[in-house]
Amino acid sequence: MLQAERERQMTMQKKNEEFPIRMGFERKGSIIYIGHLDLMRTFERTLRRAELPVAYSLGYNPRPTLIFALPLGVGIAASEDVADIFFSEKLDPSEVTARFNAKAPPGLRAVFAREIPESGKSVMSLVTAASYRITAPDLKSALDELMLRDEILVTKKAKGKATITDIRPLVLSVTESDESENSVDLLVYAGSSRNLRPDLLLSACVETGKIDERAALNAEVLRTGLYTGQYPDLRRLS
Amino acid sequence: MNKMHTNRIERADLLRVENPARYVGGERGAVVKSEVLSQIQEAGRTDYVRFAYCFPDIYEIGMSNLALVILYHLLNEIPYVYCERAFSPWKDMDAIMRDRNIPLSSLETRTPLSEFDVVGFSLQYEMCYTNVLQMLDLSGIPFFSSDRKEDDPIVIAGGPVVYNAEPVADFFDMIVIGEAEDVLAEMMELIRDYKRSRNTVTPMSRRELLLLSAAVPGVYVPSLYDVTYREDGTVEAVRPTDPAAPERIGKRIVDNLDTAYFPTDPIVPHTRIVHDRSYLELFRGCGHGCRFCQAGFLYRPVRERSAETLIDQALALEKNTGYDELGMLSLSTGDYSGLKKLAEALVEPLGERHTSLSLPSLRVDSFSIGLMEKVSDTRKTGLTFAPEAGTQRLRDVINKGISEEDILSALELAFEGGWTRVKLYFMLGLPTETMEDVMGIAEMARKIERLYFDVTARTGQRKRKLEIIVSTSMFIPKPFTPFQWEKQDTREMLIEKQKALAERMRSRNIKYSWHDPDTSVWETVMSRGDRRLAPVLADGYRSGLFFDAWDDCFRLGQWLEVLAAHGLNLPFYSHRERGDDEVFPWDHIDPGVNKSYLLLERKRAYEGSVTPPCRPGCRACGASDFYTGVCHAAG
Repeated sequence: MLQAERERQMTMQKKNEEFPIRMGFERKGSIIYIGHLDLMRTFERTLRRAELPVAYSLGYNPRPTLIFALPLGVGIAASEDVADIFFSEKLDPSEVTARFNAKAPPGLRAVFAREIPESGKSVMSLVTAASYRITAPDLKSALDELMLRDEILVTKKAKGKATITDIRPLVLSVTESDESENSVDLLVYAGSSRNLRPDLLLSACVETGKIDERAALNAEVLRTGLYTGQYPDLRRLS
Repeated sequence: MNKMHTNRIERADLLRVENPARYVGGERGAVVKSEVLSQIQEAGRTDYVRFAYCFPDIYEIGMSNLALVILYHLLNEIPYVYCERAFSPWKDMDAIMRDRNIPLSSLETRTPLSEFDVVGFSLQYEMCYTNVLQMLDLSGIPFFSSDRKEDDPIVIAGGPVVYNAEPVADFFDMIVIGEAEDVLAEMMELIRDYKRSRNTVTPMSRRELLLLSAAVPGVYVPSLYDVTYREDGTVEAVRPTDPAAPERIGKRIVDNLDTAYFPTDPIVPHTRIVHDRSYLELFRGCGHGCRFCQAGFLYRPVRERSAETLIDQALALEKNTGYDELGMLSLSTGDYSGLKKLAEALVEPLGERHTSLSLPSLRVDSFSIGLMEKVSDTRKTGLTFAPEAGTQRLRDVINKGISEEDILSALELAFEGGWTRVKLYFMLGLPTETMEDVMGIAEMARKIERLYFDVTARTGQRKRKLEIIVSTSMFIPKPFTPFQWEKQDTREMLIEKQKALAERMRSRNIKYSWHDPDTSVWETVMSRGDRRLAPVLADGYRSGLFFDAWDDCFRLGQWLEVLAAHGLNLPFYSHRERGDDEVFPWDHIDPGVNKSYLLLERKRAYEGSVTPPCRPGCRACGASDFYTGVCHAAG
């Protein structure tokens, strides 16, 4: 009987009002080596430790409602990535960052938070571009050579199949970074329709012969921002 | 100390391996004392001890071990101790480290293990022995205690398998027998004194340290004992070679679990580990005395932690870790006397926070079904039972105090409540087992299947996918059990039984899984072995064998070749029944339960006599000498 009762309760449950907050966060240090799912779990646990009232999904296995704008690859740091977090009550955004940061693991930190309308578009669908700062010796000259080409062909492996694609159209701009002579600032397409992973561009750099594979893998990769809108009218996602 | 290498793991290495998070540390709650340490070192002081807590398996397994969590934080609470962690690098990283000459280092400060004062291994299962060698090898530390010099780290071990550590005894300078909380602190003091003396005009020698340590109760110094063998290969005697070493080494235990150290703000891994939840430890020991169960005899006497303490710990853990799952640990959680009180106190606060609580399946009654509805995750994982044997006759022989009726009545309630997943654990090859006992396993599974359809017919419930998972492992005659004199089935016998059982359980509702018999056979050798196996392990490791606990890495054939090359053989260790008066390689270790009691229990097994649990009446096993826990309470 218990089961029937449980089922009735489930179908009667209505979605409660939710209060989404958009959070900007940085990750650096050893925590850059965890994958997307692990990062999600780390967020969930940090929010639970902070005793922030996260809204849970319905069903047998309720999960906190948490949407990341764009997954962060393993080994990639971020200075201002974005996630939408849904709370069950209205909260002061500055309190959210303060409480989150008090309980976050080393290397993970909220840099901004603001309220957003509940009916807004999913943060994932907003992302159209991303900027990266990549630091490695000889990277600049390899990229200079690549950018002179009409096409940059790379082999992508997915589900055991290898396909050759041209990533040249996905690169929006390459500029010398003011940070150091080994750093390059990249602007590339990102998001659900067109997306360039920086490691693919790095492997194309290796093909030029100007940078060796190990140096390319050792490159520091920092995602410096996420953007929305149509190039060239991009706005920083915030 | 030795600074042999300077290479470190880089991003390029991390991006080439399976799960880089294993090798980077930096978790919340990790204790990093590098600043304090460098200040002390600059001041030229030596009154601190650096301890590398080594788990000889991958990070995700090691971090799931509660002993690691307790002892890591306990050691770091000692002001002069700096405890850091190291794990076995998986084969992909192992190859990179060898290729690039990168030494194995601690996660906290990336210090090579060879620079630590103490390198301590947690030995949770016998199959990890070759990974101890891997970790020493990657650190440039000699395998054998006798080859290590004054400046090498002191290599120690502890954990459940060290009650017979003889196969690896020669690798360790000291071994902690029993629960390590108190004795580790005593050892750290001795090692600090030793270290201090090294800079004085009267430096203590390594041997002097070992002699002093041997006098600490619970510390076994293998190099102070000499083993002689008879012509038939059995042990003649294990004798101390110095008066400082006791004839027998008694285990240490913690008297009072309410005052014992327990971290409620522990380290929380970034990456998913095997047991990704926080744990309460309800009690230590078990009063049932199942005759195959080593832990049941080794961890006596039963000592409970009070429900009040556990409630406080649970609430603190839940808030501090952020885990959404709380597990309960002990040998038979269902026996915990405060279970109802504990569960009732936790149901509200945990439920509010969407935190699930794992409850023991055997205690399923109308009370716990209600609780499970609210807080338990058993709907996903199902109910789990361990009848161990298929017939009541054989369950009596092994003294497993669980009847078919217990299981069926619990399951009837669970099926009524909508549960559809059941897991059953059994052992094959138990003493006196016949094919009838083997087939009894299939019969029980069939009965459970019928029960489900009866319940759904009676209650008119919608039928769901019923899943009965039957799992069998191979009986291993472990030291310090009433079955320590028994022989093990051969691989061939076991495979025959597995096949016959699989044949009898063909149903879409029943899934049958079995342990690899190869690993069980080798586990028997390692758990019953003597000191002649240390060179076997070293040779096997050098020929590329490690990660033996992983079925896909384990090679029984190769191991048997190495064993034969040393003039030893499998039947001697695994398939030979021992005489009543045989001297075992582990007889100089004293876990508190008398050999005579174990022999008596063996006789009772053959009579099919059941021995009731410690409560209400004491069975005089010997553990009452500890004057604590259930023995003391029963007075």
